Amino acid sequence: MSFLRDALLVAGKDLRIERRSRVALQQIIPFGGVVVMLFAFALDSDRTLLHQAAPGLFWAAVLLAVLLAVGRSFAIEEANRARDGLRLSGLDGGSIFLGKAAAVAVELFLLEVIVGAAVVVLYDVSVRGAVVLLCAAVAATVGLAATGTVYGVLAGGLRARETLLPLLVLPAVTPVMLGATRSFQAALDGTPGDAWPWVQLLTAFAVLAVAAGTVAFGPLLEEA
Amino acid sequence: MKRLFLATTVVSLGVTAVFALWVTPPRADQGFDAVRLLYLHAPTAWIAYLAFGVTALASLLWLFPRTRSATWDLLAGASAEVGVVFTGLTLVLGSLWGRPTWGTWWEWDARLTTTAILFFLYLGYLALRRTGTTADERGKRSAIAALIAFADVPVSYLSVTWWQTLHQQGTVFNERLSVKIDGSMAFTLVAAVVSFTLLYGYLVLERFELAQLEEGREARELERAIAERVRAEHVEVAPV
Amino acid sequence: MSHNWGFVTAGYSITTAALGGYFVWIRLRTRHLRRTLRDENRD
Repeated sequence: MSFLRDALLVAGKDLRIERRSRVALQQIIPFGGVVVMLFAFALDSDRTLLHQAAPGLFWAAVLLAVLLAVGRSFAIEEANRARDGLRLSGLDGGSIFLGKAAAVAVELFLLEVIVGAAVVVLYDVSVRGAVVLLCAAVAATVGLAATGTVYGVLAGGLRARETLLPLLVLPAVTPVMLGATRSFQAALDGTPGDAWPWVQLLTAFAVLAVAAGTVAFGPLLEEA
Repeated sequence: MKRLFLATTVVSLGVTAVFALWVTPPRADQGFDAVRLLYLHAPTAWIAYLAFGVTALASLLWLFPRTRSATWDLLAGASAEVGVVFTGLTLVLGSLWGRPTWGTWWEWDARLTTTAILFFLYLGYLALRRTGTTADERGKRSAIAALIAFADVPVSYLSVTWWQTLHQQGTVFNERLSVKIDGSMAFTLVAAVVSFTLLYGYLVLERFELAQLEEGREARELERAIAERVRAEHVEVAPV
Repeated sequence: MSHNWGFVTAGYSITTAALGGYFVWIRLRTRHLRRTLRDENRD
């Protein structure tokens, strides 16, 4: 039980820092909004095209925001050598991973709600199949946060980590992009039955990513 | 010994080329003479999987404390680099073959997509290796990254069986385990796989030795830098 | 061209160029490093 309590402790720490620094609120979420706006320009504000592409564009915006959220999650550990503090805290590596990934997931949820609202309004999308949307979003977000956190610590403390992180994370989360887009498409098209295989894929990916991160995080945090 | 290895590789590649370009027949259902690209495309893809498999295995051996040695780390890096070259070639050759047979350079089919992802995953792996940290730190991080990236290899390999896609099923190792081609074509394909495997082995050997040299030079530079620092500090300390 | 020899030529040329180029690059870099190391040893 202390494993989960430690995870909550770490998640609480990260979220408290975000609440006070407001980086997520004032930078990452507006960034998501700008991306949504840019896509509309790219497609020449063609309503039908935007409407069709909305699920993909939404998840592309979320994916880009993941990079910022993960970068931020590990930037706060670089400052004042907090990474050493975390290492010496005696907390289990797995619980630190779960905590940090959970904090990223919470931030992403917030972002998805706001960016999703923007997409609905700006791209003229009518929401259907709320249950499928919610399940897909939860599974996708957990997968994204877990994968991002694994690669965040993998690149953490290295030189050029800011440019390395996107190269590592984006190819690895392509299954999430695919699954989330397809299940959103199916739900919005009014055929939620077609979405469930993709939700299963998202869930499997999330479970694997969380498992891999829980095992690998401790050794990665240690200094070799 | 290495000379002999190289000579064997070159000769077997030459024999394969002769068979692939002149002896085997064109196939009407595979883009006529474009089918000759099969003898490059299939072996390069197989070598890419093999290379990443070797990287994953070497990474495991590095992670396992009893077998940990710098050799495994350098071997993993060398094999991954050769693998990336072969993956890139597979994509280009597949594209060249797809154009006359499918009528398109690229199709978002499961096999093609997962192979493209594989290419980028290992480019990221190679980038991670070049970030200049201590050998142990690099070994640990890259070994874990290699194991994560390897998850895509079976997905890519089985994608043609899992999803019914445009890409044809395995020519040799398909569901029914029946070789779909015969005679000179089968022989040429086997010869190509053998000679490309030899080439892979030779390239990895050369790249591994180069990696050892690079590593040695880095260690020497570090030593020299420390020596200089110590000397400089002596000068500073002396007047006090 | 109806038999697509153009694609075949392109494929075989690219393969030769890529693998040959990679091999030559390894060789040249190895030789360069060996020479540098030898020069350093002489110092």
